[in-house]
Amino acid sequence: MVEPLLRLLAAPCPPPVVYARITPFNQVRQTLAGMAGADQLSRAETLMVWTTPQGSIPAFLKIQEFEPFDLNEVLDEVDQLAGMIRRVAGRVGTVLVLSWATPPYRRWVQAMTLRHEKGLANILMRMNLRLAEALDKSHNVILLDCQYWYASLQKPAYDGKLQALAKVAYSRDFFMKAAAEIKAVLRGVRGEARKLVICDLDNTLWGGVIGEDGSEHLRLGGHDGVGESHAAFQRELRMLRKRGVLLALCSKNDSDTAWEAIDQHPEMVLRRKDFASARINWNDKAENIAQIVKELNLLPKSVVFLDDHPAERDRVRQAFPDILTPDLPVDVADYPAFLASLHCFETVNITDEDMARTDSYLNESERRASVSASGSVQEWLASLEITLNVSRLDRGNLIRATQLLNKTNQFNMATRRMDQEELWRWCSLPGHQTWVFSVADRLGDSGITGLISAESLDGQDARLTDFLMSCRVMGKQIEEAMLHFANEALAARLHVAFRKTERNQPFLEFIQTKWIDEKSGLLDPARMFRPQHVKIQ
Amino acid sequence: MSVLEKIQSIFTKVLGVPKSEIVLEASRNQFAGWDSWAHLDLVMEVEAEFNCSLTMAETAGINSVRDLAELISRKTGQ
Repeated sequence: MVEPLLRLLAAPCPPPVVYARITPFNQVRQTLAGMAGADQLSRAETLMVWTTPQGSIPAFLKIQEFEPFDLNEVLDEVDQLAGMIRRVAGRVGTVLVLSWATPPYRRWVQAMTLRHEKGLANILMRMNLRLAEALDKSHNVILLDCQYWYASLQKPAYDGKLQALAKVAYSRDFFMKAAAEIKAVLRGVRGEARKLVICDLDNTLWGGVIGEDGSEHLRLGGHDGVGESHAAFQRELRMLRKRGVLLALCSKNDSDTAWEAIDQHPEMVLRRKDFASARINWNDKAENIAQIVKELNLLPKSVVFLDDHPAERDRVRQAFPDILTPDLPVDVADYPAFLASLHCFETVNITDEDMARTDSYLNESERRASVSASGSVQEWLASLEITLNVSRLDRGNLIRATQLLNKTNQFNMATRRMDQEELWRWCSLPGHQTWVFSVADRLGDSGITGLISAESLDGQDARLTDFLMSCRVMGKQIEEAMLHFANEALAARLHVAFRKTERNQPFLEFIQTKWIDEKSGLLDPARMFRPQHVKIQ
Repeated sequence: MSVLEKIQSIFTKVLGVPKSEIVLEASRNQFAGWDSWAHLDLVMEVEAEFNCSLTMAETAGINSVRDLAELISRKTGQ
């Protein structure tokens, strides 16, 4: 019985709020079999299969109670259950399956429990491995580690009174742990993980204040508990970086002094190349953070800010309520374990792209730096004297517009493919309009490289049906200018009909910064603007 | 906060009823939501709040706000 979990899942903090329903007691198999056939699941986003080994695998009970058993029988029962889960998995968004563990209060014969194919713990491991193998091909099934829940709880997991009164085999603390873990994983499933950690330097990445103490007196690594803790903290941050979380620096310091320590200090774990962006200066931190977030094209809700200084945290919390700005632990010894306790870097997969993410940001900024040669990217863009020319779709530009529509993959919102006549007919319908864009700068004219089509909806609303741009003109905020133009021209509440494909991630990354939420596709007018370096005519 | 005030906020959280209804005289059958699951939730929250442990007999013996408040006062000396 896990009823006490419901209230904890439905609590707003931590997000998300999860409204759950519990199926009848001790009827996991019947329920799964019923679900595979009926459509009662159609409204559920997530199914959680929380079973005990003795409750769901009858043969396991024999082991627990020292009766003769057949290992094959146990594993067959595991396969059966996995098969039922696989059948249900096709009917629901995500299936969470809790792996099996015996509660810590149940002490089997310790001298025998790991004995090959005989001991309780040994067989339990086999069961979990078998379950993981059998569910491996079901991509929306996530196996959760119950053993870890017990081990990391560090409080009693069992309350005899709850067991006696209501057959509840877990304590309140265990349910709190379970709810926190389930919610953390669901945030990962929903892609709500934080993507960037912005760190302070003094007394955060290292002990001491470099501007006062000097690089040689920083407490970092070495035979010093404080120094060791900071080094271990850096190692934790580096692990995050390796799995795709970006790191950035925001510190009030003399830039040269700080970089020298980052580059030269023998005990530094994180080096210059580990940071996708940095602002080391005496400016307001909120200001600096705004720049970093914009530079990396992220949203505040994807960011964590770590600073030992309460006043700085307060400033940033005030300026960016969506940025997670936790209090750091009082004792620096607790810094290393602290990152994991934030539960905000959940993911369901780590891809090669994730592992190379910081590098790709660095390449991009290096490329830009070399292009600009002197001065900032903004100065470089301004020096290009970019003009965005807009015209309505007409018979004269129809051929090129159709080509663009059918060839563009990466920066393409809907990836609608149409031939000339279809496109022409579509945009001739009442309330429909299509613009084509060409880009010129002092170096030349790109010709028609962008297209937006729109349809008026009822009342104040309009929807962008197509929004695409050739990758030849990417990286110059042309897309901002196009969107700004459409917004002005339509003078309506803008929605977008985004359709994800394997290749239009660049468009998604752009539009994610614009929409209020993906579901409605409603764009936030406050986030649309004309870049100063682009003239529209 | 007094014992009663703390109990009131726990009741509000678990049963979703306004504080004003959670008076000492109020008994279990006056709250539609105070079923056996809510009873366990209340006991678990009270144990966490007051850092104490109720026995099974004590848990089963709570039939009003007063029962709970007096039990907590007795156990914690508050």
